[in-house]
Amino acid sequence: MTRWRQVRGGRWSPLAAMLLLSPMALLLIAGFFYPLVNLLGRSLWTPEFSLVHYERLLGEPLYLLILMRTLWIAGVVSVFTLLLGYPVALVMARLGGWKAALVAACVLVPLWTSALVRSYAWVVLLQRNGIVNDTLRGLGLTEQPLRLIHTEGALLVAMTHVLLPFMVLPIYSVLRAISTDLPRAAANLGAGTWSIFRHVTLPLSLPGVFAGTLMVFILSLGFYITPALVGGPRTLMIATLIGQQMTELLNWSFASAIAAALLAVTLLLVAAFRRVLRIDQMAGHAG
Amino acid sequence: MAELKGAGGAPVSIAAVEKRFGSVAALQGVSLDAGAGEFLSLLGPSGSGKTTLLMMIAGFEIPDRGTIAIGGRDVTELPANQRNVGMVFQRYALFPHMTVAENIGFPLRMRGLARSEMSSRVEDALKLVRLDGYGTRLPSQLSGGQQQRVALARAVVFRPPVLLMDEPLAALDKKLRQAMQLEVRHLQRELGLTVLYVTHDQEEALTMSDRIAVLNDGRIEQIGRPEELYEMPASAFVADFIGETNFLSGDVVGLDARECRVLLDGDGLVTGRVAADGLAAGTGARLAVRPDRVRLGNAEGIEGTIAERIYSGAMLMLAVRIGETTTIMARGPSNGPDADRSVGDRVRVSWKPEDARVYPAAAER
Ligand SMILES: Nc1ncnc2c1ncn2[C@@H]1O[C@H](COP(=O)(O)OP(=O)(O)O)[C@@H](O)[C@H]1O
Ligand SMILES: [Mg+2]
Repeated sequence: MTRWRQVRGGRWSPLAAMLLLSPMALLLIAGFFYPLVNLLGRSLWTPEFSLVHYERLLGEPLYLLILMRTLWIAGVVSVFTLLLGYPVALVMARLGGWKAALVAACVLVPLWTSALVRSYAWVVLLQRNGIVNDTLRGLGLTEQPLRLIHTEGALLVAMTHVLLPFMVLPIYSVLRAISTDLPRAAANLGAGTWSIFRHVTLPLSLPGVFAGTLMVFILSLGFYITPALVGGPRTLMIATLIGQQMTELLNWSFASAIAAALLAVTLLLVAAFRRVLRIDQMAGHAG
Repeated sequence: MAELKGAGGAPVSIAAVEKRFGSVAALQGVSLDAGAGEFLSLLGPSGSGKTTLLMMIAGFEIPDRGTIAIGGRDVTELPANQRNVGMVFQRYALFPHMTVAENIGFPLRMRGLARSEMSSRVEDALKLVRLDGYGTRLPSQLSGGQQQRVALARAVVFRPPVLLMDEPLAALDKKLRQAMQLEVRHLQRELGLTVLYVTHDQEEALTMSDRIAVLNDGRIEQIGRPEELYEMPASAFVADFIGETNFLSGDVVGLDARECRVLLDGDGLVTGRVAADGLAAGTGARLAVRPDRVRLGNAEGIEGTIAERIYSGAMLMLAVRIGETTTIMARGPSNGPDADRSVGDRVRVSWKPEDARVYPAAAER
């Protein structure tokens, strides 16, 4: 009998664990860590070591503005998806049978459609002679077509739509896991509908809220397609900037420096978020 | 402790309650009165409707028909959060994100009590269940028995007149369960609460209750004191469910107002008290007799052979085979007169007619 087949109280032997992890580990090393290190290298050695690209990034107000705008848009999109998504998750968790399946399908269908298609759909809706403008003029509400596409508002709406499922699903799964005994116990102890939500359902769903918010925020920071199509040049976000530097200006070193800065900001924010909100501990309590 | 004593218990009155879930009739015409300060158990097999009945008293289900009154007030349609009844859930239902003290303080907070009053009452409740000093822990840091006691403290801290408990001890091991039975009973007497206690464990019901209501298939089979249920079960179902019983089937051959003579299928004439309506000469019948009331001898009774001898410390159980199909169990002290009987011995089995009860054969199904 080979050593790795032995089962010890439900634990895998180290060898078996390594065998199971190795395909994923190899993929990560080849497809993620190597390019990442390569990227960082490019931003620092050109070919001698220099910080010139980082100086340029920090020295030019335009680039800082784009970074701040990216953070701002990611924050607003997180808040919007939370405000729209929490009630949806709550209703989904309360409903049973085919009604829950229907709402779940409405939330999931957008996930099965590519972000590119959904973004183009927003372009079709919002462009100068698009459906929204035609309708407004047809109703006589406006005379000239409104400038909708390539505005920050349009970008926020489109990104909220595209990222909504990533907020709804984690909240839904946490809400579903709350035993029905708990709201009942709260009612039995004198709590009304609002108090039950405020003191029991909401606090127990926070791990899902944090997971969803973090996911949407991080996805927003690096979002490429939707900002490029719906946001346009006026609401340039950082991923689009990186893309421009790489594909149009062929300035790989500077693109690498921006990417490294984005990575650093993301990691910092995740660390701060975890610290402040103690995700692990909260998740431990929800079980 | 005096702080926790409320106005004592309130009577609970359930009248002709019916409840269906789709095609399942969970309760079919249940009526029940629990007196103020009474410990009343709802005993029955799984699926008999015990939880449904409790949920209606708590206000989580509304009966299709019938009424529920607490302390003389009709609460049939009153929302759960206005009923002011304590409840201990089967899996405790402690709030996992609140400390023990916050859990126990929750009902007081909902009632808008001042902070100082609240903490002194929480302290008292913790003392009552012997968990003083545990207030700052989280439920996940407690053992099953301790969580159970927190649930109990939380259910009585707001001085409800009625306490509902749904199989609260089912998840505990035997030793702990017996200790908690005493503790619950002690607390109930101390606070003067009316307790409705759901269990499927007949031994637990017998030891704890003032009265027991036996439920079967959404109906109450019998309500009475533990001794009444044990000594005078009103139906074969109750005789079977409470304690151990020998059932012997046969046909009625003689009948008067009190006693009934039955000719057993495997031959042999036996006598017992008439325990239910529906008996007539020539009809099928089932005679029930407790193993501890069966006497073994050599002179009178039906004849058989000892087929098994089961020793269990204080008691000795002997299985006596009568004919081809019937076995009668007899139990006595292990140092009693039957101690030196052994497997294969011929014996005669008898009992006093008043110790056996005869039910019509059809009434059981
Ligand atoms: N919410 C419900 N939906 C459908 N059927 C139910 C529901 N609650 C109880 N029942 C049914 O009603 C019957 C009685 O259930 P219950 O009161 O839980 O019994 P017990 O507590 O005695 O085990 C069972 O047949 C059960 O399946
Ligand atoms: Mg039950």
